[in-house]
Amino acid sequence: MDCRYHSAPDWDGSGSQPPPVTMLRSLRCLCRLQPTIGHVRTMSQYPPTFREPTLPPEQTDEAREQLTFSPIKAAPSDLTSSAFDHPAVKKFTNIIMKGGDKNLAQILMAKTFERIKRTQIQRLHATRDAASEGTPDQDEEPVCDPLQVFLKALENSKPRLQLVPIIRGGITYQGRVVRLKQELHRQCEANRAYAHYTYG
Amino acid sequence: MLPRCRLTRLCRLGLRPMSAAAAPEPAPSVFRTSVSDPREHSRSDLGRLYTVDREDHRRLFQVTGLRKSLSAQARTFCELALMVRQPALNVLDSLRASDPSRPSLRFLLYGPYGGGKSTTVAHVLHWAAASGWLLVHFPEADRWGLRFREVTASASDPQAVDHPVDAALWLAHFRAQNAARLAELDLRTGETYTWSRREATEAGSPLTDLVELGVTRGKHASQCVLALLAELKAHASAGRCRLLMAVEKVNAFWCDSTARREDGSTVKFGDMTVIRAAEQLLRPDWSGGAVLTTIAPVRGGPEGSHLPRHQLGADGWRALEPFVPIRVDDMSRAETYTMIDYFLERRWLQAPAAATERGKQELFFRSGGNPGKLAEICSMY
Repeated sequence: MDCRYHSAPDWDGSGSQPPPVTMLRSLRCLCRLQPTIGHVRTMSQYPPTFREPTLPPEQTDEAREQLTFSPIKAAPSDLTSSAFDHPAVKKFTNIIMKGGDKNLAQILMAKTFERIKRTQIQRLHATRDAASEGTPDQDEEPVCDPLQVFLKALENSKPRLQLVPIIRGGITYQGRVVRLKQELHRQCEANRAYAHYTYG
Repeated sequence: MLPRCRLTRLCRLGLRPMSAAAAPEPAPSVFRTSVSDPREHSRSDLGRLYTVDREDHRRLFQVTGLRKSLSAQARTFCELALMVRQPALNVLDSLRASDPSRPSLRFLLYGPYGGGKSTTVAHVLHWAAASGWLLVHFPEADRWGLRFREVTASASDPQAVDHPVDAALWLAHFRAQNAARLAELDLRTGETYTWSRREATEAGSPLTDLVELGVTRGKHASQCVLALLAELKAHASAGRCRLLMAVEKVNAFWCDSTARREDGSTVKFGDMTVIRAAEQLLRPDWSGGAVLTTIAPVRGGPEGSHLPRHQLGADGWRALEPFVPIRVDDMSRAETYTMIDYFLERRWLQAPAAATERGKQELFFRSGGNPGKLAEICSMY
């Protein structure tokens, strides 16, 4: 497998791997002018032999030995060995940063996470109050981890993708197209008269 | 369920009514001490957290008095828990051993920003209230000159400056802290105070009359504070009560304020009636109590060293000397781990890494043991 894709980080932390190599090669003609497909960069200033920089807590001994004899890419300035770092949070901090004011962006993220936590903990107490008084709430206990809330919000915000047939040069490809959630819901609403047909 | 009016009032006070399920009675653990009466705190409680009784919390810090971060934490955790640390025990030991017939001791807490000076003051205030002392507590002395709501020229002295709103609020804070004890002691005014042609407080009136007048009439509130503190000073010296005055950021008293007179001249803190009232008790000419002060860099104050001589300046040093200096330092590793365990127990630290040894080491390293910094870092995780 090409080293480039093997070492590409999955920035949303979902653990999902990049699409298979064959599909990417077939789509390159469609995405000729764009350096990225999904979350995988296909153009890099580094040759494929260069490894990603890692810090000691994440390195195994074998990995460290291999890295000794490999060239390594330059480390980004926000690379840390912190046990609390998350790539999605770092990425989002950079996105909300304006004018290079990373300090302010980090403060805003921290305050947002704090507010999420306080709100959720209040809800947790309210849920437990209701449960102890014998009027249990219909929902389960709210998630208090602000990171989990944030990642779920990211997930909810992602566009839904659909495969549609696209004909180019006589060959039908299955291209990925963004379909808005609203359009799907509109279609479902328009067809609601046929909902009971599913029961046969 | 409580009636709605009482519910909203309690929520406004930051004390949400909780059932046992939401804030269960904490089991004795390594990081908590079950001794909630500060009169019984000793060396064996060092480095552990004690929970302030809800009624005491409401009485002492209902109107104001805690730092915003600590107040928010108490609201979220459904309890106010303070760590028993060496500086507070030093002050308490001195206060227990002090002779009420001797001039009042003056303590000065200093140390790094966020190190726990205000929390130490809160602990000592709790002890004093439990021991039946009267409290005169100025939570943020710099507010009077830098973030005041309104200032007016004083009626009695044109050069002096009154705080109609802030003084009334402060008297409400004083009343909340001392109402019960004042009623027990039944202290009376020693002289007559004339407020206007028709209004006067006669000699022999209860001190609570002075307090009520100031709370309801902002115009006279600053003069009421001046009269009230003069009376309390006289009663303490006569042995009728014990009095603790706590002034945080006392170094502000010798700075310039941001207030300006009509002619554009700067108003100094020393020109303010309420500050002059507090300065009465800073002098060493009374007995039967103690003065607890803290210093912290304030806007408009001297830049540079955070140590007492530099922050107080020559005037402040001359006014406060001699005092007992007490350094409130950052937490030790053990104390920091205790705080982290407390945050974990209260569900404040949510990240799984925070429960691991590696995570705790990182939190200690990044905060350097500074309580304020630790709270800031943990707010995100």
